[in-house]
Amino acid sequence: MSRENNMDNKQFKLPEEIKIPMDFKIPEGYFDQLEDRVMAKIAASEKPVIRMNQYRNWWYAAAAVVVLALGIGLIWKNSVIEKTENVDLEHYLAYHTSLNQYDLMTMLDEEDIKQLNQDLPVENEAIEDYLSNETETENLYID
Amino acid sequence: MNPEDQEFIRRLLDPVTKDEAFRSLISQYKRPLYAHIRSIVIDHDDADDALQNTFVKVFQHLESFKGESRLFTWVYRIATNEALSFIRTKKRKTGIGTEADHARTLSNLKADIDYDGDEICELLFQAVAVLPEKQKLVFNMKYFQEMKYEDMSGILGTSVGALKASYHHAVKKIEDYVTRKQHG
Repeated sequence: MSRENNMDNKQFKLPEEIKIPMDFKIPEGYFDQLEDRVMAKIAASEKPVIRMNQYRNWWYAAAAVVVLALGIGLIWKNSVIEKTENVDLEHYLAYHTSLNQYDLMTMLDEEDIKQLNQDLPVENEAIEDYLSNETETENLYID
Repeated sequence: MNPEDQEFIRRLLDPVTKDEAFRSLISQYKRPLYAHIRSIVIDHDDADDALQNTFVKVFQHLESFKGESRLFTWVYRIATNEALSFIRTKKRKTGIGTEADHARTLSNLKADIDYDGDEICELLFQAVAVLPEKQKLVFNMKYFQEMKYEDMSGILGTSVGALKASYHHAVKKIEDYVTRKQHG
């Protein structure tokens, strides 16, 4: 089927046997060295990816070190303060107050005594030993 | 996978032979792949960008090529996606509507296509240019690139039956377009 026949017919029929080519205009020498250009583009696209990943890892590592250092510092500081406060308190109570056994007894309520019994359990035998060895028990009965 | 593809893939994945094998792949595919991409994006500079991006993507994803399809089908699928996403992005960026885009495509056709000034040729290219995207793709691949429906099916992920229907719709639209322009 020729193009002229198509022109003569009322309804245009697409020529299937002898096809109309669609030849695009291509700049001369375009395909020469296309391989080199593509390989260069591949090399260029690979480098930044590697560099970015490397830097990203370093940033993550640096951030982790800072967080770790701050965390350890904070924990150490808190524990030192706590220890110091406990020692200071004991020292103060032992040497700088006039608290006696009676004062302590009046300050302790039922809850405190229960807690002390749990924290420092006293065996019945130990109480019996103490009472049998203690010569001046009168004060204890009174208290 | 056929034995030739298998051996070629082995060379492409081997770090020692990778670059040389990939250069061979570019040489083998550059002209048909360029024609395929150019038929979608029309403009040469756009086709050049899309073609180079296609090869870069093929290179970067060689490890993920499972061999379930032929290498030819896989490469063409990447090229088709690249070309289609290229023109969609360009349309979004320029904000040009469908009609204005068609008018611009038609005016650029004479500059882009090498033909002898035959009226039928010009009308045919115009008719193809204004086809819906999928029909244009199917028509170009079947009529100009003379691909088999089976290969097109692998590349486009569409059944052979649907492709045949799409092609015949495209042919009918083209014939009506040229007839209308000749007698209108």
